[in-house]
Amino acid sequence: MIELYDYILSDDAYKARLLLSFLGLEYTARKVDMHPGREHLTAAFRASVTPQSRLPVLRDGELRLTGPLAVLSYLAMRYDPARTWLPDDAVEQAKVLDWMAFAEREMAPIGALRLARFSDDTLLAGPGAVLPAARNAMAILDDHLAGEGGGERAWLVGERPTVADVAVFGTAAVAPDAGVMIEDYPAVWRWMGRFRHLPGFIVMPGVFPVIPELVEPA
Amino acid sequence: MTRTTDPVALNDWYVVGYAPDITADAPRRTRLLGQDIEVSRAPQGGFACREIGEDGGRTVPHVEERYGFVWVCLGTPAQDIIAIPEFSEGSDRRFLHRGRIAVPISGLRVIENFFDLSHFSFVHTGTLGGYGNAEVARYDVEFREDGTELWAVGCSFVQPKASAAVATQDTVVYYDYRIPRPFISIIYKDSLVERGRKDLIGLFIQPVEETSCVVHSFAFIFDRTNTDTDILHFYHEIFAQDRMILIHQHPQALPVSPLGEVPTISDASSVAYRRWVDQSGLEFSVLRNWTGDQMTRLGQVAGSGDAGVAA
Ligand SMILES: [Fe+2]
Repeated sequence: MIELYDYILSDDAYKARLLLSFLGLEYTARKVDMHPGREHLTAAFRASVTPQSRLPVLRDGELRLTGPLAVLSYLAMRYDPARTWLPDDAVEQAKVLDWMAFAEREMAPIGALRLARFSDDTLLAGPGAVLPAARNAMAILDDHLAGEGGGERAWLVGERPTVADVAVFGTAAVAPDAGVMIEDYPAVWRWMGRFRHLPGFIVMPGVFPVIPELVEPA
Repeated sequence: MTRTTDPVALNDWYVVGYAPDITADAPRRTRLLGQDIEVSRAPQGGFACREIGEDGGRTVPHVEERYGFVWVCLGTPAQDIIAIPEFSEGSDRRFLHRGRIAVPISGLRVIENFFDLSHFSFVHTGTLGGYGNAEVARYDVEFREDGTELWAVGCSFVQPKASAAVATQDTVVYYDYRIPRPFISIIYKDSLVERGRKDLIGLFIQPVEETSCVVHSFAFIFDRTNTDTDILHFYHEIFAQDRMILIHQHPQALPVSPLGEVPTISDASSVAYRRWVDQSGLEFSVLRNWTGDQMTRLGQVAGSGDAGVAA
């Protein structure tokens, strides 16, 4: 029985929801009052759910994992026998891990800025140095997807979507909430269009759904 | 920016914080109508408010606690804080603070979006609307209390999941929207739990600057089964969907010129709201005589991403 500690507006929790959906896995959602209750910061949460005070937390039997990197890697290795979401090939797997680290490190300013903009914490101080850092992460992603010599990459690593795409998409897709508009990054924009058409794709609030009426004919 | 000079805006009351969030140790620094302020607990009980400025800071005399929130008027109040009689019913309703969410757009646009029924199917698919039930049934727009309040009454909509309290199924839900002030709206929604009674959901907008605001929100509802967290997740999903639409609206202030925005949102209540705001004389957050021809960026945004796939 899989349990997911979840907050509807958490981009990191969304990554876990996405992969669970792609893999067709059933799970029980344990809802956490991150806002306005700050439940994840309480002693009770640290003691009984995770000492790291963050989401998502995945429980599978006796196993307990915190954060998207561990959760996505585990789900892919354990529940994807075809090994397309986390390839066995040494080079591809290393590249996937590299992008997952990118999602946790370089893209962290996007997540932080987004939460600050949802609350009114940046109201008086302004976004400060976080906004250039958030834009820089999107530019790195855009350059990679644009490829060299006009050959755009369909996915971050190899020829198929991997957990790297899931980890990066979850944060990049809600960048507009942080005031970083995706229209400014055309290769990212097109990659997101491909991602949103994957079987099992689900939205989170802030991510545009696929609206059939708005799809222009090829 | 600096404090507005618009007397209509200055002489109104606004929520600037949720009372339990402001403690003796943690005053709230924020901004209202371009004016930086600090709201704190007063030693003799109640709340105090001080303007923060280079001239040292004036005390704001008009500070009240009501309905669980702290209200401030920076000018001379033109009327009392709005009456919400349901709060004195000694009620069996549950009160929930729904948090505060900042939106970089005119607060008037947030109010307009709140009672725009036509967006439910596309923005709140699966909860408040569905693609199959996009039709907006007829409703009436009324002016009450000598024209000082705008109401949209008899609204109905088929909703897959009208509230956290009901199981997922299509239900016809009946609403009245009350807009007692330009920056306040309360929805009176027929309870699906207590027949004949109303759930209240209210938005109190704190206009921060012309094109940014903080939405303070409450629910006062009948629900005996869900936890607070379940209900909050339900509301936050809906509000974050609205925020996504709102941050793409253009222009960021509310255009009140009849020649302005292409009427993708111009149902009867939106038209009435813009006229009513225009006639109130309010200038803050309002764009008069705007003749732009822009659609909201939403269509463009949602369309081109999918077109990229087809190409
Ligand atoms: Fe909405």
